[in-house]
Amino acid sequence: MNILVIDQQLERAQILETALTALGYAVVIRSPNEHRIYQLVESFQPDVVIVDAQSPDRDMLEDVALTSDRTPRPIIFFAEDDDDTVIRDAIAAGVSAYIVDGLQASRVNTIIKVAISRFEAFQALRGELRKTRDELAERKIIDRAKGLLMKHRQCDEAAAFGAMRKMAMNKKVRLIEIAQDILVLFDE
Amino acid sequence: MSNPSNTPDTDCTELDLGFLPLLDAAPLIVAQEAEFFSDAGLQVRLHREGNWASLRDKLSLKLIDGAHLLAPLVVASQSSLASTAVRNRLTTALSLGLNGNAITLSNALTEALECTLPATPAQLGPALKAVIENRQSQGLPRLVFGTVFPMSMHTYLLRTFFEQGGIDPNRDIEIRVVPPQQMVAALTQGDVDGFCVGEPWNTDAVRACQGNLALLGYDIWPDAPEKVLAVHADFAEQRPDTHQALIGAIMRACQWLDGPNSLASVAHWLSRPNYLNCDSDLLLEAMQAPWPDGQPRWHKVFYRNRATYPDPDHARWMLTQMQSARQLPENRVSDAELISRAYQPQIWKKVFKKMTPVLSAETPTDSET
Repeated sequence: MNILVIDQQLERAQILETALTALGYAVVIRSPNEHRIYQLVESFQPDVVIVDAQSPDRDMLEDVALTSDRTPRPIIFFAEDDDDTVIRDAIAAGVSAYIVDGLQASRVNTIIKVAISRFEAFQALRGELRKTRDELAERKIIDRAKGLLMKHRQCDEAAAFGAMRKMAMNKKVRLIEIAQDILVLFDE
Repeated sequence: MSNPSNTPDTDCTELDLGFLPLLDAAPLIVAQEAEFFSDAGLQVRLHREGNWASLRDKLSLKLIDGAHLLAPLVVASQSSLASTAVRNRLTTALSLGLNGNAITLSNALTEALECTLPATPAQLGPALKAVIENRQSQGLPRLVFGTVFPMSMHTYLLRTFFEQGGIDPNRDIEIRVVPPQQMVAALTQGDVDGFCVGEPWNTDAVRACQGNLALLGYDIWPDAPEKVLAVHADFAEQRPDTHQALIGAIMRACQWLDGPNSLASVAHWLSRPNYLNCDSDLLLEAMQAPWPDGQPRWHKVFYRNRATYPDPDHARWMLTQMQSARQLPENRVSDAELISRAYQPQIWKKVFKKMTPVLSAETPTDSET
């Protein structure tokens, strides 16, 4: 698993790197003055990003998270705050995991695992939502194609649907693709 | 100074406010340094943050009570965006000034343009479109423009300008976030071909001979909103008196900022290590420098033209922009409901009425308007 570390304090980043490498993770530390986060994310494809909460780069990661489907989940140093309830609330809210300053190597692995499992649960939920939404959209397209076919061939619903299914089977494509072809064909 | 707001102070009046080290954090800093906060019975601690996301999260988690925040972030907080999964219902009843942004283009892009800079949107739009079409026909990658945050006026001003010039901001170009302090470096290294930011970053690029001032935010939208005083919705609901006292004190600071003799003190205060931590001369210059045509149009307005009023029409415009930038989730409350939760002008009106005697007593005699 790949981990990208973005920290203004190089020393702290190095401590973290040692701990993470020992746990078998591939780690890249971004140097403080390097601003090419987009390229770094693209080339290294991190599964997790650990970022200093105060770093201006966090805003860039927000953008990366919004625009790319492969969303790395930032884990954040919440350096100045070691209030346990706050950290718990933050994690519960699903934003990120917060690592407190003066972290012990032994805790790093646990924190990362918790963050990843939370993130995966969140992603799964999002994936399901998207799937449902896509299915709904597909059904609408198929219905419209069916309607067009009924109009143009002057047949009933069952016949139109049967014709579409047959075309899909003959061409070995999904029904939705046939429906889309029909919409294009009848210039809709 | 008099106590203008007669705060009942039944609740705790110690407050923590966050800000980003930018010129337009001035109303908060002035309210603190000119003791408008303490006049209002508030004991305020100001906390400098490193990025917008962190400011938003701290406000959402109630680690701070209020913040100097990008206006669109407050609107976005009410729409349950996927990337902001935390329940961060934020609201505002005070705008922190108008204008202040400009678009700067790289030297290479400037050379390719068939118009001189600075330009008007009507001149620059077609010139940029020609460059983009030329690049498309040569199979060159899309031009990249820097902004400070996905949900920001900077992003939406860029997008508006492109759309008006017949350029599709979703397809023809790319908009990427670059922290303001890294903008000039990104321009120098060719990672972005232009950017939209506030001052002093445009001036900075010009001084370093790495870019050219191209367009004023003012010429895309005169008196456009920018930052607001954001608070958690629970705070506005549960501590209305403190919220109003806070707004009143910052209103005074805004009027004071627009006054004739504020510049030297503002530059002095803002430059301090705990605030912007920079050279006060640079701040003076950024606040005074005229646009190349001699007009002061790009200066921040803090109080004039109802600059402090949280205008629901602004929120509505931002919502439209978010929609066109595909930043909004499909399942959300109605626009009207979302806007009334995010922007609360009725609170502003209440405070303004209460503050009117104080504000008129303090009206600058030698106004620059």
